[in-house]
Amino acid sequence: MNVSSYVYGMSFYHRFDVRPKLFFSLVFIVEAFIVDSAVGLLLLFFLPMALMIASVGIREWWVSFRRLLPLLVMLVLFIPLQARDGMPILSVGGVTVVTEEGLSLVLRIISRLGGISMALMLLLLTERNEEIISGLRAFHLPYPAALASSMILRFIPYLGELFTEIRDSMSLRLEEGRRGYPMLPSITALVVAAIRMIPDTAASLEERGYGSAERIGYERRKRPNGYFIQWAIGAIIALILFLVR
Amino acid sequence: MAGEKRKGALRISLIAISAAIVAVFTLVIRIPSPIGGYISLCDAAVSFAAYAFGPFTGFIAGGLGTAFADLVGGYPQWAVISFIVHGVEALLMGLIVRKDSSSVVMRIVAAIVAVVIVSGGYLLLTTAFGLTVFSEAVLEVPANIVQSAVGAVIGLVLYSGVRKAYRQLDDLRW
Repeated sequence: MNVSSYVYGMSFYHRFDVRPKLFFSLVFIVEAFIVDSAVGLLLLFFLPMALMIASVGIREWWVSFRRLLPLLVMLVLFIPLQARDGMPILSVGGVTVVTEEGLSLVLRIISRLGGISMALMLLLLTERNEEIISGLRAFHLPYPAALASSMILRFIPYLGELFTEIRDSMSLRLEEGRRGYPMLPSITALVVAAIRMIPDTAASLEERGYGSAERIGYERRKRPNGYFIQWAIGAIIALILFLVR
Repeated sequence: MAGEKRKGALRISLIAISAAIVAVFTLVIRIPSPIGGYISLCDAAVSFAAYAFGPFTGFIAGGLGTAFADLVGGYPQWAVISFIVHGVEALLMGLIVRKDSSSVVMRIVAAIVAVVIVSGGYLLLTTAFGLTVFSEAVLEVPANIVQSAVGAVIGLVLYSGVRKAYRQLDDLRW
């Protein structure tokens, strides 16, 4: 089980520092809710997509986009048929099928949903999980929250593997010819095994000095070459999106 | 001081492991729904966390576990909504069964509240966040009702089973 979406690469977006990436991903998501013009909606939808293709290639983009596609298709098929107030664009036998308002609504929702999903996937595809947590620490995420987040990310694959082993051994207990696995005993065994780890994990945190000293300093990260240029590029994109909103 | 230190380490471990359990339940058994999301066993783990560890651990574990599952599972756009919906689901379930976790009536009330929060929460929040329209979001409601109702029952069975197998379970509650 792999919990990291990171795709190795040396693209210009891979080389961006995690801090401007995190900050402008958030700004982009906020702007997604205020953009209303046609140009703004097109930028919202296609900009993260273009960045993703340039950073990780068409194949990885398609893997992410494919998950979103059924929802986008449903929205395109249903919304214009349901929102039929306003200026008719398409009428069949005197019945209004598509209106300008219906079309505008579907474009807004698709751009927003597609833009937000692609912007977040772009971040996850071009940055390792531990780098994202470290970036959040630089933005003053409290130490216990950062520690809990990185522990969650480490325990997910471990418990996923453990569940696979439990499920496989449980399936051997079924009668010959029967497929599948007994779900309830398998998930119970997984939860018992996981909960038994809690006291040991706490003891090992203590041994490593958790709680023994007050952490007052937040993570100081080195500023890479072109750090301010990266912030400037992000700010320009955010400003353009704001101006064409 | 040593007691506080121990308590802090235990709380962090409890939250991390219970959130990871929720995430694994969300990621391992996943059935894609026709409008892009998916239905999973996450509510069983969320209910279990609420019954076993109380409302506050349940809130953090349920919220963080489902949000992390969305982030690593390729559905990042739902992470914030999942955090709110499943966090509140566990919080309310935990508060309802807090005084008397063995009461059948309270368990039924908790399960009904879970169903209302999950189905109503996704319906309202996906529409309020502008990620879909109301008539589209309504299509998800039956699947969410089934998922949360089945989850609440499985969570309860799981809680009883784990409690029998690990007697110190109640000591972890805070």
